[in-house]
Amino acid sequence: MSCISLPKSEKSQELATKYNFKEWMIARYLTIVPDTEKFLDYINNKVPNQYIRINTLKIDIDTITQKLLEKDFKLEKTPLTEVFLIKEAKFPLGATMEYLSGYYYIQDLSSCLAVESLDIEEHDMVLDMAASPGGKTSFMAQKMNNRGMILALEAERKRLRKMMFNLARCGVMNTVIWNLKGEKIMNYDFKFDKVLLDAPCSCDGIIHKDPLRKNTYSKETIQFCSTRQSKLIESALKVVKPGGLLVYSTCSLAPEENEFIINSIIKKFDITLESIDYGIDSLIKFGNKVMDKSIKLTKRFYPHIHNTAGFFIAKIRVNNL
Amino acid sequence: MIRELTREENTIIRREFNKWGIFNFIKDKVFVLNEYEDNVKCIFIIPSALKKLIFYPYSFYGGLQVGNIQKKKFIPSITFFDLVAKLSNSFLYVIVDCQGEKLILYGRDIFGNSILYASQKIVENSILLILNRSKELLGIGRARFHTTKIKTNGIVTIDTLLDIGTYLRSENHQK
Repeated sequence: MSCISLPKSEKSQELATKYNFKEWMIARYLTIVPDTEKFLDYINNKVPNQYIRINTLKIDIDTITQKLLEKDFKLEKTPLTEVFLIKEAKFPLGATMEYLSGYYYIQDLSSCLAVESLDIEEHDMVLDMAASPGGKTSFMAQKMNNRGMILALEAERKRLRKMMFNLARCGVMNTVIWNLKGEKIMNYDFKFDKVLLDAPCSCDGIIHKDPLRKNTYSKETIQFCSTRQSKLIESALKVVKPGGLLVYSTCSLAPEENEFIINSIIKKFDITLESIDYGIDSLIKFGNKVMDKSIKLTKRFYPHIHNTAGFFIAKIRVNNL
Repeated sequence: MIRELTREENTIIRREFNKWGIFNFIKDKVFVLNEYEDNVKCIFIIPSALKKLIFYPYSFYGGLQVGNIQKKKFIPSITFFDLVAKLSNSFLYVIVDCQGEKLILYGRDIFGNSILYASQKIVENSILLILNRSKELLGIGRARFHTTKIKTNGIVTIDTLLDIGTYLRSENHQK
């Protein structure tokens, strides 16, 4: 799927100079992102928020929050009971005894919302299609109380060890990791109640955490990612049980990697989009492309509005295949 | 490729679970083994239901990694001792203060003055669990002294063998 170029303007030129972005990116953001200048201010100037997700496989929420308060952490509640925004921390989050013991996982709220949208139940059979470093996998295991089964796929061998250590630290027991490309899962005779496809993407939703991405972000990356995402989502749909759920997410703001992908499967498969309680409605038009109205049910998250990474979530009920 | 354990391997591991008082944890679970490129034979304990997914060529990891097998000897992992700390009531341990806790997390050894409590039956070379004041596992150590001398000021009385920071250091080592 090729990347749509939008016409440049005086405004796009001005903002590109002011915020040191490529102008074609700004031209797109002016259409995609509400309150674009505030967004650019945020990602250029604000220290990214940090969230922790309490790992209830190892400790209960009250005990760990009390421990952290005693260490002068300031925590703020979020819409998810397990997730807290770190307002102040006296120690690096990844170097405390509590972190090393697997009592919490450093994880953006948006990632947790993707897992939340899966409506996971204890005895489900779940597939995590692009799983490393294991944050979402371990949250799923937590929601399942270490029961049921999770198959976690990771194509890159060098990322497997990190995932292994994260799952071990968090006490995850109900997961098997396969070193396999997500696209190949349909070659195996498995059907899953729930599938999470947090697809590999161009990642401009996390530019505020990694400013170097400003320079490496390109139209070719968007095109490459969206082509791969189309293949992945079609594979995912083929392994969901009828009546099961697929959650598709990315940390990209590009419609080609989000709404366009969902729009293409609506026409091809017997699926229904379901609403999500968080975020704001997605785009149903971008450039000259007009999409199915139901795409509005998918949600976008923006750093300057939601205090999260830029993120996209679609909740897809598979009717029949 | 992950495989089932031989009878001999199974016996070696079950014996260790029994020795540390966590034999009941094995119920409804099975052990499997994966031999990695570096010839490390990792032992995993998985719920029986996971057998459905584990014996495939691309399978890399499953359940909890409880240790390695080296030359017919089981070397328990920190995860194994985490189970011991939570489920067993038959192990030797010491409780250390905040200063001791900080040092262990960096893989350092334990000074006698950091020890607040020690089990009565510790002798030289005893393998023991190192816990903090909330009785949470910090690491595993080898005693240099009998219980009566383990709190001696100003000298290392326990060598740290494994600690919970192992996760982080192993992870960084792989990058």
